[in-house]
Amino acid sequence: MEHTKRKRLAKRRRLAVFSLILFLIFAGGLAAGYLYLSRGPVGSPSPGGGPEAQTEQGSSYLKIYYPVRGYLQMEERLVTPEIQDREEAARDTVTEYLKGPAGMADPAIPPGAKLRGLYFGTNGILYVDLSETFKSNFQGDALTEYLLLRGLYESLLSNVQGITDVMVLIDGRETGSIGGHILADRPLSGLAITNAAGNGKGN
Amino acid sequence: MRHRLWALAFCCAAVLIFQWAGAAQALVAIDPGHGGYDRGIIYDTGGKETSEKRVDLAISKAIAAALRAKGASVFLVRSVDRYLGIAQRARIASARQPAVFLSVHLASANAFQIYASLMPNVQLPPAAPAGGNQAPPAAPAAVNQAPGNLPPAGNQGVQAGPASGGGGQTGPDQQALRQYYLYSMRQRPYLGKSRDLASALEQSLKQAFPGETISYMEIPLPLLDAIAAPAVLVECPAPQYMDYNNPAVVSGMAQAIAGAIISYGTY
Repeated sequence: MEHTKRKRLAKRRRLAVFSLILFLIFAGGLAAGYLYLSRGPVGSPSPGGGPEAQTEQGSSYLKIYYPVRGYLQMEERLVTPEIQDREEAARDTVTEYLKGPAGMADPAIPPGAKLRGLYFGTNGILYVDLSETFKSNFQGDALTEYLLLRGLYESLLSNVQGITDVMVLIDGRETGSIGGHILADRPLSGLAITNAAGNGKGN
Repeated sequence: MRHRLWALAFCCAAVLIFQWAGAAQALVAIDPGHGGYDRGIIYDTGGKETSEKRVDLAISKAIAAALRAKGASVFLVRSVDRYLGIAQRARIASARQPAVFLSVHLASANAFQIYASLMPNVQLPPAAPAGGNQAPPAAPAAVNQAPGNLPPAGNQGVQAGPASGGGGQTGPDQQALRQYYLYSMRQRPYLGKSRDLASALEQSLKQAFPGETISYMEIPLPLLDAIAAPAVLVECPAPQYMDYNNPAVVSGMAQAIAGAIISYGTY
């Protein structure tokens, strides 16, 4: 009788240890998965939710995606003072974006382009009103135009909380296209498709 | 026996005639980029300004001439220096139901760039019930007057309205949205053929310009999205690297592109 009881107890203990190990493996997997997924690759930052603008002792870091030689290149920009709200985050993001990538002699960002205003619309759309020079000073081919708009979209979605889409306005109005290749009269999320084919390099 | 031979010959001739007739009807649409106040890229060519729109038109006309010389039917979406928006171009080209669509542009570097469209995975709103009022087909520009109506899209694709069975609302807005997506997603069934056409162009340009960089890419291009035919956009090297004032250069390029379209086999 005693022997059976002890055996049952040992069995229960084994089951408990086994369950604990299973739980630990599961929790470890969850943590690893979270860590892996929270690090988005360059060119496809985490969608929607934000804010990803990190703050640090009176200043904030912004992730800005610039079009550089046929690719999007992420740069972290330090802005001071610390970003307080999402409007400030959006304003700083666009301002930093328009400055262009560091140390580039011939940037794809149209020179002289200025931010005129920002409006948070319904359905999570952020309207970015840019000066006419963003359009008139654009000098680029189809890929450059695509990356110019995609970079702005990715930068804003990376740093601004609660937006799901971005719409570009020129001098307060919808514009057909910035450079004649890509429609800009609609929100930019349509451009955020993963490139399934194409080498993007020369042969 | 002789009668059978005659019958066989008659059948062969009929097949050839039908093929020839089909070829005669197949149209190639060539879309010279930019135009009017949209000058495209302005290049500095030895202290002189060269606007992309002018070179695009010159190359397009040369391609059209080369194709016609090979017996193809061709039309230019714009044949003069005038502005056309992207939606207008799509409408003009689509009205003629071309068998092949080629948009001609210049690159900003010393390279040929060939693009096919990269399309989002759109789930269309449900169709109106039989006998219901169908909204007239809407061009992208018309629907885009209300950007808020367009659904947000993520990296996984666009959700255009409720999925089938998700409430079954088929109001006029939903139908307009459906028509818009049907219009702007017309390229989808032709994506494979567009890639084949791009590949033919790549091969032909490689042969004609062995030293040049030739790339192929797929990016979201609304103009190509709206074309119900194999459609590609080709960018030729910037004028700093290619002398477009030399008729031999333009003609050689046009021959290579026309040859690719012919060899692609739409004819």
